Amino acid sequence: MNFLSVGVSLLKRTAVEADTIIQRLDGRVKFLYFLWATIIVYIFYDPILNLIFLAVTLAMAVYARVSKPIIMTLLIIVVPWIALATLILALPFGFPWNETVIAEIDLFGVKLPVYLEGLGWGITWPLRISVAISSALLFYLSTNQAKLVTTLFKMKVPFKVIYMTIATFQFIPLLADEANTIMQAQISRGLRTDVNIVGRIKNYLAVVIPLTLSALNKVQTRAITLESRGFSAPVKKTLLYEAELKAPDWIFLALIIVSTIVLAWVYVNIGYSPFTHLRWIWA
Amino acid sequence: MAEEKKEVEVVEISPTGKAIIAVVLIPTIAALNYVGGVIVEALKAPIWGDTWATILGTLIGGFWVGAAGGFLYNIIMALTVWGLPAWVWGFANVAIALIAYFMMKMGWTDLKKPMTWIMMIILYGLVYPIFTTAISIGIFGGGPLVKPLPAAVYAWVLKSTGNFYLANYLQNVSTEIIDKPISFIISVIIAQRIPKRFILVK
Repeated sequence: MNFLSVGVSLLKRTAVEADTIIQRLDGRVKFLYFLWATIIVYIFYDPILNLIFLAVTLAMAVYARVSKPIIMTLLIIVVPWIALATLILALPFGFPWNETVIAEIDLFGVKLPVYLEGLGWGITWPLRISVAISSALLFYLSTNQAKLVTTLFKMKVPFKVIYMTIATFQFIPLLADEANTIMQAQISRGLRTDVNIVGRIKNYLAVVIPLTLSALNKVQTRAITLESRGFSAPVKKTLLYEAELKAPDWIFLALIIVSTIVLAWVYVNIGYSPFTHLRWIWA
Repeated sequence: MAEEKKEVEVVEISPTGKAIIAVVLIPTIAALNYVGGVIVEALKAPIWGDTWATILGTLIGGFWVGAAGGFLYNIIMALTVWGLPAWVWGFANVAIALIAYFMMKMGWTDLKKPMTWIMMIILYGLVYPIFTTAISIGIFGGGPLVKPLPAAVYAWVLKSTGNFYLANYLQNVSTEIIDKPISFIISVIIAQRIPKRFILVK
């Protein structure tokens, strides 16, 4: 299984409908948390802080019953990345900022130094992405599409852009299913999958050409349908849900503000790497 | 009196405006990029395969349709599977659309012409990786890719030269020089088979 397959299974999912505080939170608040958490882990350079953010986000995901796909995505994307990055960057393979030896490992009888700078880099960057992915998925998997439209509308996103975004989410599983049908049909009429690299590219064409033509044929039907629903009509659009901030939203926002103040104090008084005291190697 | 032969002109009628077709075409391109990447994984083809629809969108709908479709794909991925910082890859898709548009305007879409192949390899294989290298270092720290061949190139260049930036650039070249020209060829082949009513670009 690869991360794109995980992607398909994720985007085939609609939001998990559960009656928890996370699901009831306004989409804008969850989106703000996603932006805020991502920005904070990029401002700091500390894997421990990243782990704290990751733990908090995963705890919310467990509570909202959306943790399984998030953890699976992290296992497939981030764990191999950390393994590969730390191996190449922490060992003496030329990472230019390596200075501080923190340990030695014995690799087939050869003693290799392990550098703090490369190790810190190889762990911190993937963990930053982990926080970004998990907070994004928390927002996506706990907000249903009708509420997502309301959220985007309230964020003053133009209506056409909202349509295009939501339509993409809807098209992906449809096209994925169609691609699967085309692939099965091609295999049944003799398409061989155990071929060399050039053959695989030809196979790719054999699936992608009918898929594209079929998708484009539906474009006009969709366009007519949209027009028949008055998509381009110069009138005020109405929404299925009305978004309004309630008490839990304000409490969540207050927590974000308090955390920001605390983190600002930490940044000014302790520094960008408060737990592990890593050197900012871009400097 | 001999009956005059009337020439019948077949005119394809488009029932809806180009603007609304473009609005529907853009999410289709974004979804095709996504599903293209999934098919690559299923067939184990040696490319990324998630940008060809951006090129196709440019060839049939013009620069803005291709760029918007590609950008939207990256936004969707950034909001779900890849994490927020990945939205900047949207600019890579804009660059891909720009190159495709430039090649289309220069007439370098005829696969029988050697110039098409030369410019395709130079622009997509060597120039475009400069852009992706800048993004991968600036936003993602510039580590090795999670694919065996590029990671091996990265480790080898870093070990032999100690040049972090060169290692990142050559790692990107090793993937893009195969992926983007193949994506361009696929898009050109598909664009030639598309009914004219979908061609919005003049």
